Amino acid sequence: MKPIKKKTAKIFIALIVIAAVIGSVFTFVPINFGKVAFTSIAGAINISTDLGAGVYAEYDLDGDYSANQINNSISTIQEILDEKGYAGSNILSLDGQKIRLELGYPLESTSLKDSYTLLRAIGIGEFELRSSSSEDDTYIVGREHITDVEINNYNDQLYVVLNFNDAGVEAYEDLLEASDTIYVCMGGETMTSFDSTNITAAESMPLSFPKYAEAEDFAMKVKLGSMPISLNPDTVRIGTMSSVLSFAMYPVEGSNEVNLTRIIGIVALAIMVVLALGFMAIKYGIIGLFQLIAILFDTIIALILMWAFPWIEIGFSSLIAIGIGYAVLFASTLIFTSRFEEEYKQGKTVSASLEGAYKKSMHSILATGIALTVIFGVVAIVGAGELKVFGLITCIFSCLSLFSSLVMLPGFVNIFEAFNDGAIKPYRLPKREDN
Amino acid sequence: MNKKKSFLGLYLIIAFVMIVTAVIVSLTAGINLGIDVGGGTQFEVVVTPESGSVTNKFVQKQEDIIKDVLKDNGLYAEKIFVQDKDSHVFVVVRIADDNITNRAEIVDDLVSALEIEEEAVSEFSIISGSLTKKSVIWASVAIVCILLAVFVFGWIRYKLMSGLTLTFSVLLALMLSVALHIITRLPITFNSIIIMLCSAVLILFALIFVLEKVREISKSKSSENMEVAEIISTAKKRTLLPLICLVAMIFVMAVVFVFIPVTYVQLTACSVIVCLASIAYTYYFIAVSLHEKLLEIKDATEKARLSRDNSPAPQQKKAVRPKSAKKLEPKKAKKAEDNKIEV
Repeated sequence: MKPIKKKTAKIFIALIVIAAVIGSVFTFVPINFGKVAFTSIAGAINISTDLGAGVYAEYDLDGDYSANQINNSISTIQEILDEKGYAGSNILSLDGQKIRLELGYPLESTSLKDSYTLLRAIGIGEFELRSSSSEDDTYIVGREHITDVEINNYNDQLYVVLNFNDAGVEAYEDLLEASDTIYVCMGGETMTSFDSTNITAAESMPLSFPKYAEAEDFAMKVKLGSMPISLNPDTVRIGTMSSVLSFAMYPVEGSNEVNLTRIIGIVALAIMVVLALGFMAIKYGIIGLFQLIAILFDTIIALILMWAFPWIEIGFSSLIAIGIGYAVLFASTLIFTSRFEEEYKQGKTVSASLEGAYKKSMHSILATGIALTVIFGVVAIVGAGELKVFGLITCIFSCLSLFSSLVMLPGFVNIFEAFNDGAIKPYRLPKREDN
Repeated sequence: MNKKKSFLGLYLIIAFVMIVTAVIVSLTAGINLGIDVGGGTQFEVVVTPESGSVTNKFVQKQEDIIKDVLKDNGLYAEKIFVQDKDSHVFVVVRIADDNITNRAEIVDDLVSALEIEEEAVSEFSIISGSLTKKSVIWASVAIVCILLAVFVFGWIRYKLMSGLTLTFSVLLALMLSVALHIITRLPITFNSIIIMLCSAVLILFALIFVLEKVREISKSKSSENMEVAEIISTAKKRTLLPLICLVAMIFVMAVVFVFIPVTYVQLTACSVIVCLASIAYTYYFIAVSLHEKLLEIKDATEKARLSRDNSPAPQQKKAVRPKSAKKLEPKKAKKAEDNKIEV
C-alpha cells in the first residue's frame, strides 16, 4: 500500500463520489420519466411468502400414492420452481391426499399473473403420447415410461429430448408402427401433434422447437406430467394469501402489503449496522466514516448481485444471511483496524502503521474470507430452495468482506492520508510517550 | 511466566454432560421439530365480520383469539396467516404437532370464542415436513465432508495439531448447538438448521483468525523467548475485538427479532441466541485451550523423543556390539577425553 499524491487522491475522491451517487440512485430510488417507470434495484428483488404476499394452489391427487412417491414429486416441483426463480416457495402435502404450493409475488411483472400461470401449469395433468386423440390409443405414459427430460442444442436447432426406460422404448416402437402422427396429450387433452414418418425408434425421442422459451415450457410440462403422482387438473384451487410470517395482514396484491416482519427485519439490520459504525467511529474516528462509505458500496454491490441472480427470492432466512454477512464484513475490517492500532502502539508513524497493518492483516483476512466463501459457495451450489439462496447471499457477503477490508477501507485511508500529513487525531489513536 | 491453571478438562466435561443430557432428553421426550422440518397440523377458520368487509384489525383480533384458544389447550401456532378461497377469507393456522388428540375440544373452544358456526372451522389436516431420510443422509454426508475438508485445510496450512483443533471445535460447536436446542426444547426449524450450520462456520472463522495470528507472532522476532502458551494467549487477546464485534452484531439482530410478534421469527431469534452461546463457550473455554494443550503434548512428545535419541550411546548399543569392540572402548573414550581437553 504505497502513499498517493494529492492530485491522484482528488481524482479518486471524484470517482468515488460519482460511483456512490449513481449507485445509490439506481439501487434505492424508483425513477419515473413520464410514462417510463424504473423500479429501483432494491425494489426489484423478488420476495418469498415469508416476507410478502403471494398465491397458493391446492391440487387433489388423482389416486393413492405412497409417501415416497409424494416426496419425489415434491422434489420435482421444487426443482422446477427453483429454475423459475421461486426458491422461497413452500410445497406441502396435506393428509397425503393433496399437494399445496405457496409462491411469492414476482415484482418484475407487477401482478400475480406469472405465479397464477405457473400454478395452472403445475396442475396440467399426466403427459401421454398417443397414436390418435382417443384415450384407447395411448402408448407412452409419462409416469411409467419417461425417465428424464432434457433440452439439447444440435446444429443450431433446439431439441427437447424425452428419455425412455425399457418399457418406454418398446411402447415407443409400437407407437411409431401404429401411426404416422404422434399426438401429445396433457391431462387427457390433446395439446399438439407431429409427423413421425422420419423418426426411427430409439431410447429417446427428440422434438425440435424454434425458441428456447417454448422448449423450456414444453420440457417443464413433460416433467410435471411425468411425476410419480398424478394431479387432478379439474379440482385445482388457486387463491391469494398473506405472508406466512405477516402480522395479521389481510392478503392484498404484493407490494401494497405492510409486512411487519419485513419492516422490523430491515430495522434490525439497520440497528446492528448503525451500532457497529458508531463503535468504529468512537474507537477509530475517521475510519468509522470510511467504513460507512465502504458499507454503502458493499450494500449496493450486494443488492445488484442479489437482483442479478434470477433464482434469489428474499425470505426470512435471507435476512439472517444478510445480518451474518454484515457482521462478517465488520469483523474483517476490524482485523485491519485493530492491527493498525497495534502497529501504531509499537512506535511507528501513522503511514508506517497503515502499511504494516495492511501487510500483516492480509493473511488473516484472506484465510478467513476464503474459508467462508468456499464453504458458503459449496452450500449455494449443493443446496436447493431457500438453502441455496442463503448460501449465495452469505457467499456474496464473504467475497465483499475481502473486497471491503483489502481494497476499499485501506484505499479510503490512503486517500485521506494524502491530505492528512500523519496527524493521529482523526484516528483517535492514544497518545504515545514519544509524541 | 507463571503457568495458569487450565480448566479445559472441566469445560470438556460440561460440554460432554450437555450432549449426554440432550441424547437422554431426545430419547425420552423426543426432539421438538418445527413444521417445515417435521410437519404438523393445519386447519382453517372462516373469518366473517358481523357487518362490513374484513379489515386488518378484525383479522388481527381473530388471530389473537385463536392463539389464546390454542394456548389454553397447550399448543401454539408456529405460523398463522390469511388466505382467500371461494370468495371467503380464511385464517390458516399451522401447529408443529401432528398428533393432536383433543381436536374436538379445540374446535368447540374456537366456536365459542370466535362466535362462529362449527362448519367455519375446517378439518385438521396433517401436513408434511421436508425432513426425509434422504435429506438426513445427505446432510450427514455433507457435514462429514466439511469436517474432513476443515481437517485437511488445517493440517496443510497450520500443521496437524491445528487441523485437529479446527475439526474438533467445529464438530463440538455443531453438537452443542443441537444439544442446546434439544435441552431448551426449542423447535428445530429450517432456519435453526441454517443457524447451526452458521455457528460451525463462525467458529471456524474465529479459529482461523487466531491461528493466523499465532503464525504471525511465531514468525516475529519478539516470539523467540515466548512459550507456546504465551503465544496463543497473546493471539487470543489480539483477536478478541473483531470476534466480540461479530458476536455482538448478530446478538443485536437476534434481540430485535425477538420483538417481532410472530412466533416463527421469535423462535428463530432464540435459535440464534442459543447458537451464539454455543459458539462463545466452544471458542472461549475449549477451542483455544485445547489447541494450547495439543501443542504442549506435541512439544512434550518431541522433547521425550529427542531425549531418547540423545541418551548415552554405549548403553543402547551394548546388546548389539561385538565383544571385540568392547575392548576398544576405554581407549576410544580416553582419546575423546584427551581431544576434549585439547579443545
